[in-house]
Amino acid sequence: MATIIFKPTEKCNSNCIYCDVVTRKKPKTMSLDLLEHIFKNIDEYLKSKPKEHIQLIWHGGEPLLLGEDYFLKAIEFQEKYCPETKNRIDHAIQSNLTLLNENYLKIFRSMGINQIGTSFEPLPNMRGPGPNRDSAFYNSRFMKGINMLEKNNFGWGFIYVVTKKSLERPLDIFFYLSNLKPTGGFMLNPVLIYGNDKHDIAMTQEEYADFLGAIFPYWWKHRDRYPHVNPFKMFVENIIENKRTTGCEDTGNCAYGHVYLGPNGEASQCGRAGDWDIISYGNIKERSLIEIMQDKQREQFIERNNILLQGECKNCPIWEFCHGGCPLDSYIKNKNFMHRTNRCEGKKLFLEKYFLPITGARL
Amino acid sequence: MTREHIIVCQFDENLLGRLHKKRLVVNTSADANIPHICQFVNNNQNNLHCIVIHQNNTLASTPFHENWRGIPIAVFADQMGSFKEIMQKMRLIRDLNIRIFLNTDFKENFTNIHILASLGIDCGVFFGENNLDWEALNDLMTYSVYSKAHHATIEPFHFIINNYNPTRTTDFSSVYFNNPYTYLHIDSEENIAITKNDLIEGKYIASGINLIPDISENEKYKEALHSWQEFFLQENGCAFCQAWRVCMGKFSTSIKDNPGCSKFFVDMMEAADYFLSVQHKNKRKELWQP
Repeated sequence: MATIIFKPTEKCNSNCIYCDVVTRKKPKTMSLDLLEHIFKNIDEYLKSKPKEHIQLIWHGGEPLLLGEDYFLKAIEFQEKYCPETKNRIDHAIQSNLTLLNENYLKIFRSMGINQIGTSFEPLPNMRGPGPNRDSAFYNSRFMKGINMLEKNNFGWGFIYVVTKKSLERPLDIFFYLSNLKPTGGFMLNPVLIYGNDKHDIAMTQEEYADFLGAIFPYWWKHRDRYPHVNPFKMFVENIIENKRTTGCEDTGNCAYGHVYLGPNGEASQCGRAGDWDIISYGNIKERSLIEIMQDKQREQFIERNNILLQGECKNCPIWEFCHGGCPLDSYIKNKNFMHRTNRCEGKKLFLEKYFLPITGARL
Repeated sequence: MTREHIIVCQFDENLLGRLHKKRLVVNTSADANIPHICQFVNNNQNNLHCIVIHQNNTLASTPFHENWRGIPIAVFADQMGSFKEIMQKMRLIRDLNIRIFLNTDFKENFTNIHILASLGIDCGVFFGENNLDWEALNDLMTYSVYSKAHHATIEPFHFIINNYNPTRTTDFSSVYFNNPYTYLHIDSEENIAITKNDLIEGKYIASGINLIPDISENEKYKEALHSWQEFFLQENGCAFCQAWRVCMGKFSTSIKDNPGCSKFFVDMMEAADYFLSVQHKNKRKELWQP
């Protein structure tokens, strides 16, 4: 299945400390004409691949700033231009939930969406509107959002971005997050800084490993209480249960699977590549989705696997569920994609220092 | 979703006469005519869930009677009183459909409950106003959950153990008729509140028994269901505690002066996990049959 990271708007109603898209870029929003053009392209792409599905992940910015009518237009365009292929278009959405209302949920339901991905931060003044990041306002709106989701039987899962500010209170944060959603479904991701760390929130891989390591003994002992906490669950599945489950950054097969479409129709490899203006596959106004998905630059991600397997990752015991990590992370450090990422070190450190001794597992 | 709430009210014939086809918890005093209350409730096409006797005197002075047999009763008493008197009524009490609650403000009650449970009387603690002795409570919980000696149930431990789901919250306020998903409190003027204390303090969510069937659409009711989220809007406190999912902030106001709650509820969760694991083990065990 091809995945379109679809960012029809870069506008956001939150000024999250770890995101500089809004301040670095002049946020733009996709025109309805371009939206219409994209659905024509999706139809063309799916007709050329009769067995394939497309997952269209509505991303941002904050996609709910687009307004209800924008989504209704998208449905209209899909009905109009994709009559034969619409059943192979799977919508998904990432939102901060602060603008959610019942109308949106009806619209999402009609788009086949029954769960929403989000993110959350219990520490103050990390997320929220305004220069001081009004987290009290943000969090109370977020809570209303999750209440609405649960009332309407929508699922939700979230990402927690681990920053330097999180390092003092790993277990507190873990308890808070798992108390917020006792059924589980969250991911502890390290903050990604591209460029200046002006808020001093970046951390070393060792610090991230130790953050996870401070939680892991408790999680392991009580994993029946907290079954869906990642990356722990993912490590257990890959190392102990011998299943292969990874996030997109570790699959090693994103080359022809992903595309980013931005508000001006600009195409890139994925959301991060688009946000950071790293890879350009041209513009969907000038190239078809079929052409974009077959762009020759994508070869380098296949080639990367070969280069890493011959070199930096040769004989690495975690290759099968790491693949050298996200090529974009390699780019941050090396200005090219052909290296493993420094997150590999964090992973290995966590595994060697905490995971393997505690679980008794072997690589 | 419409929920059929159990209504908690005082014994007031006028009020009860206006309620129909409801399940009722009726509060009354120890000198009340219990069989009459039971009969009155059922004659008005209501269904008696429980009669709650608030004993202002000692438990021993409660006029337990043969004609209470079969009637679901909870007795809340501050102190036990003469053990000798209790023992004289023991056979009768044991035969009644009754649960006895004693106040945690009185230290001897932890032992009293232990004894009552060991004598086969279902009982429980109710939380008083003074600083709670968490260690004594923990000892009682340990006895309640782990003891292999035969004994009756002790609340709220019994409720938590039996309703515990490791991946969900377990709200034991039902034991005290204060869970808004199950209970609503009303007074003679038909004011509706979420808890007994709210009713006493005039914190009503609505007025009028005709509003009860649609109470789940009431904004204040909905707010009450989500009031736990207030803890998640604070920078510190109960939301950061590992025991949240069985405590849910019930002791947040006393935690500064008496911070033992977290340790107690962590142990409580361990006990619940243990109980679950035993249940699972027992499920797997298949004995041969003759």
